[in-house]
Amino acid sequence: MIDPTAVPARPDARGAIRPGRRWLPTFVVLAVIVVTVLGGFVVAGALPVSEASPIRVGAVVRVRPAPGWSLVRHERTSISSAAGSIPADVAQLTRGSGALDVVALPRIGASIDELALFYRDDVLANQLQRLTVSSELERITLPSGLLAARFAYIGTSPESGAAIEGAVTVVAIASSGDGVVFDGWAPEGQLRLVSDEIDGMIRSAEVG
Amino acid sequence: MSARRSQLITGRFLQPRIPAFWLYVIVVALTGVVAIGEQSLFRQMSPGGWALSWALVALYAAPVAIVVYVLDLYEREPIPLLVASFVWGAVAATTLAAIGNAGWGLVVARLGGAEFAARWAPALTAPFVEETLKGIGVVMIVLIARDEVDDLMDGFVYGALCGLGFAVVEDVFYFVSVFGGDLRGVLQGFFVRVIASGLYSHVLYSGLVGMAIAVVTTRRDPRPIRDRLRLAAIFVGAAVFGHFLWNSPLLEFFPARPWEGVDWLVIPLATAVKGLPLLLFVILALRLAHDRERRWLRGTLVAEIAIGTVTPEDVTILESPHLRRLARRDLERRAGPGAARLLRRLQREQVNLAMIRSKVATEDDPALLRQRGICRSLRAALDAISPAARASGSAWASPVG
Repeated sequence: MIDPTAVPARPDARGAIRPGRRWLPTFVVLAVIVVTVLGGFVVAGALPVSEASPIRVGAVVRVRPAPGWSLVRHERTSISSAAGSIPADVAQLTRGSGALDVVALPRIGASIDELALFYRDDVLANQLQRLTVSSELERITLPSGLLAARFAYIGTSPESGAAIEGAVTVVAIASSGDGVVFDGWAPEGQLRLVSDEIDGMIRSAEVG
Repeated sequence: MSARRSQLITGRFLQPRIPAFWLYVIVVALTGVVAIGEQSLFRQMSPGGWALSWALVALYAAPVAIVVYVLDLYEREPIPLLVASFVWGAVAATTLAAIGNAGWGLVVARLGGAEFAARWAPALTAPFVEETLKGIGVVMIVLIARDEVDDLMDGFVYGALCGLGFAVVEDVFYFVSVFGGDLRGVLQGFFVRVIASGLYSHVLYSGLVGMAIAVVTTRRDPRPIRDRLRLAAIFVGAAVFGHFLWNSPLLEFFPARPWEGVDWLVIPLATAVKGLPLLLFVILALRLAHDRERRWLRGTLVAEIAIGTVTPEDVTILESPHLRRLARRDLERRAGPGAARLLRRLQREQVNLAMIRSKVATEDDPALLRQRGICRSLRAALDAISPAARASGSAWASPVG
């Protein structure tokens, strides 16, 4: 007689039906994961894209949109600052999940440090709430040989409440006094997905 | 610690001999690094808002998890596997979906242009990417512990918990990133995404996908695979279409921001328009699944009545969790808590007897004979403790006709 106080094994416990080594289904699952996660990038890379023509922003910079990016805004405006109203040409390129704002500042006569401060304090601080910028102003050299400065930021859009992260690259042309600001941004968490394309557009831009 | 309790804790998840177990561990570990980084960023952005977000989603998730857990009336799933399902949804599926959605969004943008992608990419990518990745969580559970997913309800439970994990992390992302992360923003997000939309979210979609996976993989369903695949396609189609409709600009009655006054009443109506039909579909599917389980239990155990392993009253009581509870309570009143515990075990073993009967090929299968012996010995022990036990439940249970 079976001891009623003993805990019997579950009828479906190991031993009742021995689990085999299931390599094939595991590989199939891995393949589905890879295709689902990375397949879109592969398919998008294989799709033909219409070559976008370069966009001239003011008389200061020409930017060639990366495949899949399109111009959604191009206007002449002015930016209010402590030093008064500063004329600017602004173009915005987007791919849906990220954007690149190109701000041309003719004859502003500022160094890259001053340009970075100007954009942080007079543009970003007015556009975003709870703005936080990186502590270091990174120096980089563009393929054209121009020296540029770069900083990252994160803030919140006051209209939508959405968190925005971005990276600003500023270039100053000493000979003409012109300045250019490239502001690549995206909803928080998505900038890394478009940062290579944004960086490519900045590096290939013709400044001056 | 009793063996039963030990099994609930260590359960059937840690199975290093099964390749799928290691795939699960590796994917969760890799995506976990990214997920922790993201949560750390949210905490830096708004420490108070981030903590409040987790507190609020816990308030939502705990009762939903309990409701999902008890939905399976006859065989509660092992807790380690349920936790594994939840973790896959919260960590792996959310992280991988963010990358997958971006990639396939790029395809939509290439094909339809940036403006079209801005409006339609969430509807054309997320339902496929996210339902696939969450569904893989249930497939992993099937591969790791095949015998635990043996009916539609099991699939729903694992799928729904995977979806709950996904929803919890996504909600925190929305509260902090989209709604602003301050006190007002987090509370607004909680109202919109949990109070107004919580009934229609990933729990339903993934529950349906889990049912689809279960109907294909179960060994209990005698129907031909073609019929089962058709049913699975209906479940997956309903989940994907529901998710598509939710993300699409179609039937969009959401008021424009900023929301004031009557807008707060419009929001639950706007979410109901998109989500209520799917909720009703899921309720119907669950009712049908319950009826199926009940019919299966009765049909399987009726053969045992003839040989005296169970009584007609036993079967009638087993069919209803309510009657099972009443029978135990009644016995506890008459014969004490020990007898009630023994009856609980007898009821569990009788359900297990039904499971074994449905899996073995012959009447003299050793596993079946052994289980019959367990049931009879438990019955004998119960009769010894309380001679009135055999009659327990007869006041409310009618015999099997």
